[in-house]
Amino acid sequence: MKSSATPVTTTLTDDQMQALAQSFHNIAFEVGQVRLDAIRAGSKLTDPPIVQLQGYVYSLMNTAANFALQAANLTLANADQAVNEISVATKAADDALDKLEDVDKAVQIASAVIVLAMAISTKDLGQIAMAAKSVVTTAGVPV
Amino acid sequence: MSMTRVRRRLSLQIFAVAILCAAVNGCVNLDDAAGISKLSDEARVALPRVSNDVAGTCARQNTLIENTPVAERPKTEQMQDCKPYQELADHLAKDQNVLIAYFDALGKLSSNKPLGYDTAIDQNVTASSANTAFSANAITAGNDAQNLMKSLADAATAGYREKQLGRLIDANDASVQSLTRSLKKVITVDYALLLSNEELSLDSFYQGPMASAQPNERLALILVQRQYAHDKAALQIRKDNAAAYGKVMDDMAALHSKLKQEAGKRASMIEVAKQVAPVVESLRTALSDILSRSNQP
Repeated sequence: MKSSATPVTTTLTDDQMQALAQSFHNIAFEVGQVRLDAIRAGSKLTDPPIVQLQGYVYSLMNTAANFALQAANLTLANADQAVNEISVATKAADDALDKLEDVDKAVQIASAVIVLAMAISTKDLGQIAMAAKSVVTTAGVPV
Repeated sequence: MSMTRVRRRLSLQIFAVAILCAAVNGCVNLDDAAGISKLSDEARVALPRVSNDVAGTCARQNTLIENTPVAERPKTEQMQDCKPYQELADHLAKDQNVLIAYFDALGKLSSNKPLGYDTAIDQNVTASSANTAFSANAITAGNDAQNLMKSLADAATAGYREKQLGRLIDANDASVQSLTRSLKKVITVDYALLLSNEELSLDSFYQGPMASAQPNERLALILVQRQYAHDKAALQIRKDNAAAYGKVMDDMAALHSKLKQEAGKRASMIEVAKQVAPVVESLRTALSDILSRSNQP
């Protein structure tokens, strides 16, 4: 008997792409807030974790901009499932970063989100699922 | 006298002149009634002030990165590639040009002025629509612009006159509604997100150094705070312009829809003028707001 489990390949809608762009922008904003709060609390602009957070802010903003500018070509197998996993992960990251004072934790979460962004660009559902799970775990949400 | 009152008075004067003109010798046409040619001229100046800035926001963000001391940014940090931003800005410019050319043609047709169209625009729209790297809304806008351009070319070739205006409006309403909707979405959603990115870049650029300023840097801090406030105000103008662009698209869609409705009823130009006056006024206000904000220092 033939398997009917062949994944359906779908191009993400503009609304889905815009939601993704907004999610990555929101995380960039939260990472930026953690950085600014740390500076206000006495960290120097040249401290390595502060510099690292600055880099993550730029990377996350670039990801958001790419989704907004060049949306049409993102076609994923099982797109709805992928979008759902990405949404759960980005929400977990956003919630965890909100009012976070631990700079190292923020670096870990931001780093996991950037891995997720890279996984999305591979269009490989397995990689996306793994990266999304990693974001959720790093954010401290039980899987 | 406030600008709003002046504009309202001007609109009433245009409307009154149109009615008087019709009463005296029956000369009123759609262009007299709705001032479509004049609106097209205003749109031709105002709308690029918004759409061109899609590329501008990238350049400004890169300038902020460049002006951040090397020790405060990661070594691997790279500037944003502004090419996709510029390509989208060019694409939008072409599509909105077609929309404006179409409305201008309606004005010309109604006053029996010669109808021509720019073949260069036609070729540009075709070329840019082939770029599938754009968002779905941008691609849809390109396709709609092509439909409008083809329709204008056909009308020019067939030597359309005023009496065929209704047919042209009816045939193109779907494309106009779709094009205005897509252009609005690209500017009020995609470009708005790019502006939010720029705001985040601005906040990072200024607030970090401001928070770590030493007590003996008081005067320098005041200057930086003023520059920060200035840059934020300029960004707010761009956000307001993006919102006004959305309003212009809504009004153009509503105006076309009204014209179609009135053409279907074979209404007199006096009646058409009465029906479209509020939306024309709203359109003129939105365009004028973009222009006046863009001219601020």
